[in-house]
Amino acid sequence: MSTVLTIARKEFRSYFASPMAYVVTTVFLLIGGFFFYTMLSYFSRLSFQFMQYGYSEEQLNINDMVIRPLYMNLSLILLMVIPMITMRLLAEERRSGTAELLFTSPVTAWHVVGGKFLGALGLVAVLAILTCVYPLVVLMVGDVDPGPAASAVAGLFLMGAGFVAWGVLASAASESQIVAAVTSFGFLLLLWVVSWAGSITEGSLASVLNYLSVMAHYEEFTKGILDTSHLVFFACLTFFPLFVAAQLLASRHGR
Amino acid sequence: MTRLQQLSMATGVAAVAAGLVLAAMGVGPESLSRIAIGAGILLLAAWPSSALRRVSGHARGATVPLALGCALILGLLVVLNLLASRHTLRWDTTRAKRFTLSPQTRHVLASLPGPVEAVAFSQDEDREARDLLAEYGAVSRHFTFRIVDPDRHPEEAQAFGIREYGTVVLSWGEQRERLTSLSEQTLTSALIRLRDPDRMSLHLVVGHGERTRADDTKTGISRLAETLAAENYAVSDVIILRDGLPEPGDLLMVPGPTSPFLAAEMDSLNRFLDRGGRIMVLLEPNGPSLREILVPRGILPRDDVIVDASGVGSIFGMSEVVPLVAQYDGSHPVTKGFTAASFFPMCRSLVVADSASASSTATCLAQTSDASWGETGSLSGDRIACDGDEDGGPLCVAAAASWSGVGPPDSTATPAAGRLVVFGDADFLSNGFIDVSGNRDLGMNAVSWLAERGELIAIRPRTVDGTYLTLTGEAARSIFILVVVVCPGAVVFAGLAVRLRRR
Repeated sequence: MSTVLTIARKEFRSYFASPMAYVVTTVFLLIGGFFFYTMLSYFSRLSFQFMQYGYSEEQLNINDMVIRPLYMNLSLILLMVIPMITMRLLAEERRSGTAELLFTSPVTAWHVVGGKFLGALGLVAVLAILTCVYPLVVLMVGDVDPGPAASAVAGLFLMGAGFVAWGVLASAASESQIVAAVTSFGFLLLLWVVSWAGSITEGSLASVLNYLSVMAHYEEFTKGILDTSHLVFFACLTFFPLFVAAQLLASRHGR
Repeated sequence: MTRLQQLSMATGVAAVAAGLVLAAMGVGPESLSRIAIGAGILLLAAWPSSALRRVSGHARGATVPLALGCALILGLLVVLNLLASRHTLRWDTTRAKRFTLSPQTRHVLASLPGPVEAVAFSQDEDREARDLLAEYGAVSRHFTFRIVDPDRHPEEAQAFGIREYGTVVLSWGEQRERLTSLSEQTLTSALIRLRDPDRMSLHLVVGHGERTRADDTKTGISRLAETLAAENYAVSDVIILRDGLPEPGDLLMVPGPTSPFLAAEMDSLNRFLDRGGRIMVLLEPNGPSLREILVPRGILPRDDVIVDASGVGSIFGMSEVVPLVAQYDGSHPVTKGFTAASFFPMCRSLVVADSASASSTATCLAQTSDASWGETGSLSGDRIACDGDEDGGPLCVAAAASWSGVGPPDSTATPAAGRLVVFGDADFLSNGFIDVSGNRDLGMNAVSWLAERGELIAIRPRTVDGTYLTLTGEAARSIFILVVVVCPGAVVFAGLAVRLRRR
């Protein structure tokens, strides 16, 4: 375990030693902040109109109208930035030849994959924690239901873990960082929108496609629902690509 | 990876994305989007196989075991997901427990005899409808739902005879139930109607100045009648002397009579109750007390008007003669677990006998506060005060009684137990007050207990924790600067600082 943590720490530090972490975080916060501001402004305008025309405030729920759509949008931004975070993890080692060096030390493929995964996940955790600023801002000017907000952050992190795992697999399977990034982006997008295909199919195929949709599972978190089936889905979404990546490395390096 | 494979992969991603976009936007025939998605998946499939061959590199022979291992793990994960989706634990973290279905709804869902499909016809993304239907689906595997846009699928709308957006159709086999407003109450009621198609009859006694279901003014009970119909009661009017009384299996309601009953009518009502009949009586302070039928069952209505001087009602904008009731009997099925406050405008108090008879029990269901009393004098004047001879609070405003019914002499069947619920007020279920706080729930709980439909008791309407939030121009500017400038700027600054330090 200490080997995994050592690799993870090294990876995490290397993100912050290069411009990568700062660029990704800045872009993420800039777009997220803009979304949040426009949604909150719209909610404020709607509140004013409701007060003006005497409509009940019961129809205005800030969690439903700001926090929930905001976190849906944030997950889409995460989907776009994670391939950038993960593309160099293993592809770079392979291209530069340092992979051979890494595997001459007493580490297994699982150590490498686990360490790289946790290192990238650390950066995703930072992004998820930074999004707490939005519910906190709402709390400063009004009232927010903390349960669904916390659940949305947890969902963002779990979904991010799944995305990072697929990014690790793409990076393990390619020498080129660009190919790794495009591949993982395309696959993550497919996982995101697979339920659209579910809507044009019927029967058990539609059920399977709907179940595979990351969006459907993640949306429950943004509503404030913690369900064991979603936790299991995200755990499997994370474990499977890590397993394949470890098998790929093991078959390539004999470990 | 060769240039050709890269091209194949990029084309595959583009084809799948295009197919999905076409499908989502409803542009072109469905077959076009399906072809695009299928072709894209085929092109993408070329990548993993080439990748597997390539990555196996030094150990080319390991490709097959690798693929087998992955397939095995994938199979295990599929089984794990199947199990997890069938045996779930859910936690609703919302403050108002908005996504938690009532135990009654869960009971109804557990008793569904077969697959029920809900088709919601909605033009826009109806998030509330989807959330509610998803909760039902999460509880019962027998409950499935679809949301259909009637503009995109007019053939389905036509097949179901849909005329307005927001209609939900529940189907179980050949049977169908249609809803035009969706809530937990309406949906569960529709499921019960689907499951038990026989409607129970509820007769409203008329002819003594009672509230009527045709009256949609504030004093009428048209909204109560609508609620009863939604919960599968066949509501009708009955004039006792003309129509006679129904069979004991039906329910009878006396909604606020203002003129006295004839002795023959009282005899009929007594016989009805003795045979195991069920009546809900809503009294009025200035109307007949119906003591002839209530006293033998252990409930004595007083000739007074309850005044509540606690001042709690004024918080809700109510006057002193609209007592707020928040103390309920926690053991009786009507009020067990009931916590919402209810309001009774111009209510008379009731006295419940400790033991009416060996075979009959009477219970006070709801009481006013200690600061109330039963005013027997005039309510006009500057100040109303409790005189020494008036009864002080807490006063009973609702009572229930049950007893063993007596069957006809020639019958061998065991008669049903008789049940009676009395409220000292009829206004609380009138159109003007039925939606105030817990009034409707309390009334419908009483009806459900009388009808022995325990599963319909106390399905709380979902409360939405809504609030206004208006930002001043300055606050909006500050928030913009904080989230769009300061937060990303701080990260840029940190990045530059690290870069400079490293140099």
